[in-house]
Amino acid sequence: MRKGRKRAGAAGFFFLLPSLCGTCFFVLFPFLDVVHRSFLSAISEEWVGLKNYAAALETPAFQLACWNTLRFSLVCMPALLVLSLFAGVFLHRQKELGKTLKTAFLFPVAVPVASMALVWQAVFHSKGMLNGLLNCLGIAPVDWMNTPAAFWVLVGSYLWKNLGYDIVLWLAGLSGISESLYEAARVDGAGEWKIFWRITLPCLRPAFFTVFALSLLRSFQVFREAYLVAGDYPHESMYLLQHLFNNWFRDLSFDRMAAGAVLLCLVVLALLLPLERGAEKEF
Amino acid sequence: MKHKTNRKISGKRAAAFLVAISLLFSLAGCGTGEEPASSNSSSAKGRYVETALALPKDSVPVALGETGDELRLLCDNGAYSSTDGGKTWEKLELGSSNFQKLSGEGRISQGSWGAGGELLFTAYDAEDKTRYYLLDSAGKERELLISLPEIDLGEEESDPSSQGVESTATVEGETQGETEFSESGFLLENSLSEFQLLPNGSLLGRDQGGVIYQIDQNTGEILHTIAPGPEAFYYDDFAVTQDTLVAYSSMGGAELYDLATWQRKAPDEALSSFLAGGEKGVVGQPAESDTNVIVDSPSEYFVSNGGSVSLGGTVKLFTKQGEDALYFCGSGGVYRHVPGGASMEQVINGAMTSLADPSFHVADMLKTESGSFKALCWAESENGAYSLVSYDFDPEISAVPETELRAYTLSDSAGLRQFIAMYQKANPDVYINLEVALENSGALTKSDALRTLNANIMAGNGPDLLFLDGMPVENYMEKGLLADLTQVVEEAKKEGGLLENIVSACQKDGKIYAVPGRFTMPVLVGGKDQLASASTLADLAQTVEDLRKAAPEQQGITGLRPYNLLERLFVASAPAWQGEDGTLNREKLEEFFRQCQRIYLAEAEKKLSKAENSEDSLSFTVSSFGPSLLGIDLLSGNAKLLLETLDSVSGFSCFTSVKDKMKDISLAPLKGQAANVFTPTALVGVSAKSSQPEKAKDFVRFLLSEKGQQHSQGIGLPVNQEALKALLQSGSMEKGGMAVMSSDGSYNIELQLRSPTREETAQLLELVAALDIPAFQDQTIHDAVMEQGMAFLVGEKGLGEAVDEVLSQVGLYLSEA
Repeated sequence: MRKGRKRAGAAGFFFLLPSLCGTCFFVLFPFLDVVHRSFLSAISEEWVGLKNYAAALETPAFQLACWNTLRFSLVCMPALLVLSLFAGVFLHRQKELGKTLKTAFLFPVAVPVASMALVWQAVFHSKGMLNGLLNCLGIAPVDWMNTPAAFWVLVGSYLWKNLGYDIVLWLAGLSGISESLYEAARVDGAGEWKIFWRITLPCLRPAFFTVFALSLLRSFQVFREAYLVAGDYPHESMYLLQHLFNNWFRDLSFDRMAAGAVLLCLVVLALLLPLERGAEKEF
Repeated sequence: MKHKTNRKISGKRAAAFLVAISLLFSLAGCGTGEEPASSNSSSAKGRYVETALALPKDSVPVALGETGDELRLLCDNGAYSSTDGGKTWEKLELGSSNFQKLSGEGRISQGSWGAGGELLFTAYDAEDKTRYYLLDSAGKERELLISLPEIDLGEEESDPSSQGVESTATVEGETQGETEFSESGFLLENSLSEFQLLPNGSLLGRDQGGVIYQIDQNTGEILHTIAPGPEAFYYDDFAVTQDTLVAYSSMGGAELYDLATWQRKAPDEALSSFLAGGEKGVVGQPAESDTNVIVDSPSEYFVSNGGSVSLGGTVKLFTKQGEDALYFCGSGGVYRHVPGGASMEQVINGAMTSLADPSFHVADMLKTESGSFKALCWAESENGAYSLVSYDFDPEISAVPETELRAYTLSDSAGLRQFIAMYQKANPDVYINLEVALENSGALTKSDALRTLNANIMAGNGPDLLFLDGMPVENYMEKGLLADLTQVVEEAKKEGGLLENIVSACQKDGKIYAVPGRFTMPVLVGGKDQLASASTLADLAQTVEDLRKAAPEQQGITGLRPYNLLERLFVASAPAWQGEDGTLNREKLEEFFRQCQRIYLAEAEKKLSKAENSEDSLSFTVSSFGPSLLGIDLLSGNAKLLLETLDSVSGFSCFTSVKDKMKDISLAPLKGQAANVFTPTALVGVSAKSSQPEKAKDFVRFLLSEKGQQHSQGIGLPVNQEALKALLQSGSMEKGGMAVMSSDGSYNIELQLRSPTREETAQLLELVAALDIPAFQDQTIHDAVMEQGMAFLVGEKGLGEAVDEVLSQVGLYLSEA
């Protein structure tokens, strides 16, 4: 019996091995190298202690990028989680219509970033389609990409692109809730809203961590659209940490970039670890 | 049953294990797919090696040929023969007294040798008309009376690039016929500028209009005419294989004609594909062409150079009798193609010879019976002097030089190519592999290119040499990417002649990290009084306003459009904007825009009607002769005060020539918000991560030497004053001249260029010695200022709004530092 368990354990290890190796080679070891570099100068690789961290924190662009990234997350994450959850619950209750709508919501995930950037340019250019429409309605045109409106364009783009993905994640969580729980609640006279608060939401707590973590990490990818549309230096309201890291890489500021990346990683870990623990707790 | 199930499970486990292992290996196999270039350890042997041969003394070579095992050379002063492969030459005593008379007077201008030793040559008669003579192998001479159609270069039919401009210029290496004006344009005396004797007794010739003729050798009658179609427009060269005439046009590629029927043949796919690549400047890049390109060196080496090989410009076609193959010679090297075949074989790699030098031109080339190639060439860097070069196959030498230096540049330039070619010629054991990041395709942005470069540097796969034009030099110095070149500069200083104020442009903490190979300076050209009064940007604006008041009907004061005005003043002002904290000074930027507006408004006061505005044709004319021919606008009366850039020796020569006609003009450094500004160009640095720093520094040493500085290509003046003096007084300018006539007939300028005198040269050197502020153009700041400056000048934005926009756009960029 014990022997059998051992053999099963070894087989499991071998199944995990390729993925583990990939993670080590492509994520863990490079990250350790980044941590190491954050204490060295960029080219000569001399030990400089915490100087890079101090330099990064003192850089005005880093402060601006941090604030913009934080603001973006604070606006986008709640909006995305709530919208996708309600859409997920709605779709879960539908039958045939639900399948069709699910596909429609997933469509933006499949749209290539370059195509999306082209659409952005056509729609949000100062002489683009949106301003054409506003003009027809007698509203003054807005320079969407060169004013603070650029931030909201970025938020809208993120929500549109990621809503479908999060809905699928919520649906996976919803399908794991036993139907008998709902039936018992209904027998006890609970209303739909009460069922949602008392059964659906608590049961989705483990799924919440996954949805939140993936959404947070995907929020960093919104940089691609912004970069393709506005280049290295977009309007300052949509200047994110990835813009800064990208420009620091171009300018050979690997030292500060490494320090900034470690700081960002620490913040993300500080957010995710408590959430993960909370999700693991039995309810 | 149980046994079967166990076997099934075991099989599944084994399969899963195999999949896991294969996945592991596939991960380990991931990589860039590119091996880092290192010094060449290739064992491949054999390549063509270039050797310079002697030419007969005091002669200008005209045509090269081979008869039996003898090399034949026709010069302006006679015919010569060599039995030792061109090492020594003996004069041929040809029987014809007319030939002796013409050669004695140095009047022979063109020629072609036949396989049997017969010679066709042309000479100018007393009326400067072209006459054709045929000398048979026995030395018997007779004149060929060839009547070619006249060329009418009327406006409708002339080269579109010369429309609206009537000009003549003497260009080295070309024969210019007599010019007569006709009603529709002007007529050229048409003559054959290239010809070839065919074994069947006929003659093929190409006239000055790019038309090819088959001519009867006995009667001079034109038997067939091969005129280029609209695609080809002009045949630049031709060659004949056993049964095919190949007519080459730089615009239309190669067109084939059957020698029996004189009908056009189906295109040769491989050749067309190859030449189409050549037009894009990427000849021989297998990835972009269906053609199978064979090279005599390792493929990795060739592919890495594919992007920098070009056949454009000075393509020469030739064939070898008895060999049904066609040879193309260009800056990329010599390529062989068998008509109808699917491949182009690179026989000589141009990158390892003088062929890569943009100032090096092949006038005639042949393949000898022994298999070597002989080329008659001339080089702009040698003041147009002719040379004879031999390319002989050495089977013992390694296919590529033992040492390879990797060089990187954002943009290609003839100047860099010439530096590299000159260095390689002086150091045949070193090959410089130049990577050009931004090719013409425009697929890559500058930022992306820099990021790729940085990734390569950090991966230990970076270049040894960095050509830093357009790159963040100051940032690289600060980050420690560039090696200290102080010692190299000190050594160069000891040799003397170095313009120390210029080469010390890239200093940090007393150390020099990059050196410019050239420099340009913004200058003001105008009356002496005006130059004296324009000592600041505000004074300059005041001077322009005063000139406008004095001449309200004058078409232009500076003759500049808003963008050009901003651009010229930007260089002379931007160095004053940035404070020590790295931010842009708002007041100075506002002042810049304000003064630019004053000049622009004074300029725009006299609105030109379309009929009055002859600037278009004038600008075109000037640009067609060179990047900056200083002073032409003053001479034409189109401007009173010129804001120019002195960026070439020819530009200064033009200024001195204009000065001869306008006695009271002068030239001074342009003083904007900064004074004594210069722009370092062809900046070169050595990577601190280079594995061959000493070899790379050796290149920098060569670049700073007087020999290395005496090159003629690219933009900028030499940083070695001895080289600058030598180029200014080389006398090459005296061969040039120009005539510029406005389309409305308001002016007609004839200008004979001359070299500056010693005094003028000394005055220029004095101005150069005072330059002390290097202007490294920051593209981000430049683009923002130009965009907002234009909006302000044309009234789309107010001053405050435009300045705010600049500060906002540039603020992010500057705050990253």
